[in-house]
Amino acid sequence: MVAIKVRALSKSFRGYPVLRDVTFDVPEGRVAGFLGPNGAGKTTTLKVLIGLLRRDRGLVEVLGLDPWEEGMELRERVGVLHEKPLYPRGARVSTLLRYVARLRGRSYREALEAAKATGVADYLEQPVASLSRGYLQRLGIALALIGDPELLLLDEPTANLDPLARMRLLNLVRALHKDLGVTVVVSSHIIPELSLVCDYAVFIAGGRTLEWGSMEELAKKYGVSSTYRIRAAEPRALARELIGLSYVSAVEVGEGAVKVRVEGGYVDAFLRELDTLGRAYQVKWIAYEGGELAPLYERIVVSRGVAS
Amino acid sequence: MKGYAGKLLYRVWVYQRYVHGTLLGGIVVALLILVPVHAAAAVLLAPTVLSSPGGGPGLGFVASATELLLVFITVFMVASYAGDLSGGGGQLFLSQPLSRAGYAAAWLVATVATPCLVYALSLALPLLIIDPRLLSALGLWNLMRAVLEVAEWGAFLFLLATVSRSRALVVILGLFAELLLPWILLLPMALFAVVPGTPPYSVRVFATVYVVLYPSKYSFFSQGGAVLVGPGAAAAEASTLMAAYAVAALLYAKERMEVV
Repeated sequence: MVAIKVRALSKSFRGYPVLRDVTFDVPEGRVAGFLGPNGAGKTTTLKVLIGLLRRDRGLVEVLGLDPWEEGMELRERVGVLHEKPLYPRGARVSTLLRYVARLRGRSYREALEAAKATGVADYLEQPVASLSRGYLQRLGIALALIGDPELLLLDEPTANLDPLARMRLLNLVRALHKDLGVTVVVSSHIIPELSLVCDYAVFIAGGRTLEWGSMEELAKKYGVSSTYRIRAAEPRALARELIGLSYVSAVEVGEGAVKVRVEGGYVDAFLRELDTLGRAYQVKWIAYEGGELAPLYERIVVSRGVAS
Repeated sequence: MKGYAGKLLYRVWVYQRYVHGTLLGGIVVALLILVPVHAAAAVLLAPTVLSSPGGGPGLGFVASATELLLVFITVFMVASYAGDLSGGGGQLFLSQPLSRAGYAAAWLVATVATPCLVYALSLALPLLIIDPRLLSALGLWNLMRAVLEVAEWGAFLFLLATVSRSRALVVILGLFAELLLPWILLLPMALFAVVPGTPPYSVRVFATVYVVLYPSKYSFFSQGGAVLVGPGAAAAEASTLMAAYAVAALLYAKERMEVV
């Protein structure tokens, strides 16, 4: 099932085209990185996806709904954090949490849980105007989490956060995805952070999509190294065998599994080899752990001369 | 469909409570000024008003003066709506399950309907409590036309705010249109008033448009056949215009209002 379907999306501001025939999909249950240089059109696309902006042309379906025409129904199921979250300055943190919870048909207690998860619960009675940028960001994330959304759209979620808060947020995204199957779209410039959570990527530059797909597909297509986790009856023996392969650059054994990094362009050869070794070492399952976003970004965006 | 409509209305109800909460300070300050002023005026002027045959102009002067406060309140409240649209509240709440028209409707009620209602009650209730004849002396029609005029311009400013999102434009145009323009427009008509006989048709049309835009000033033209419609019709046309502005604002919000 596709969570987000975008076809030939175009959007202009005062005659200046910002998005030109943007096309991509994000399947349900994925954590998708939305990557591109400044001014690529990421924020505009996210605003079209949530129904804050109206498309000029093209098709946009989010969770099977048209964001502009069926925005109210859609936003019941989607949480969003904007790039520069703006709030009514005079309002208290608790007031915003309370009213957003009510609009989402949830209790204040649920809003408080979101506030605790993001570390803003100690500032409930403070006016929003008194919060630092980092805590405004945390408040935005808390508001996005109210109502157990099926889809989270996070625009630069780690901006203004300290390193510990960044790690907590990334862990939260991972947990939401893993435990609750939430689809997440994360737009960020911080590629190493995205690499930690994304299993899907959409690359956009100059208002056009350059590439999109699962990390596994993209890593194969662009010859970027990939990491696999293999559970086997004899992991150490399997690891000794794998380290001898010329295209395996790293092997790690732990918790009954072997983590293997395969150089770009050799994934098919590796999987064939594993098929043979699998019988000897009783391989139980193989899981794709992730690819490296930085070289993908380099090959898809920078090599085309569109990165700023 | 019933479920959808129910959800829609519930969310507008929830959101208008939030908006009223944010504007509560202004409403309370207005009440703290209006109620004592109206009550004091009623007490002090009651002997004169009730003893003179026509009721005397005293209460009318007080009501005209406090109406200025209502003008300021609505203009600045509509401007705060424009500020919310461009400054963050719109982005936050329109990212929630609230329709664009519902968002605008909540603000329309809070910035135009509520101040007008509060003003009307702050004037009518003290008069009714002190002596119901005071309300008759002031003239219920006069009170209604004054409130209608502010509501009509409030709805126009609301439409302007929805389209432009400019606080400055709302404040400047609002204060100009409600405080200065009615007197500026009287100048050309005053020139015709010195000429004997019925004014030319074009002047009567102009005067009719004037009383539809400023129904509380109908009495300026009540003699000499200068207006083509009666006071009731002028008020009805002003109400229609107000409703048209409100509907246009809600339709614009539904169909075109974007949050950049």
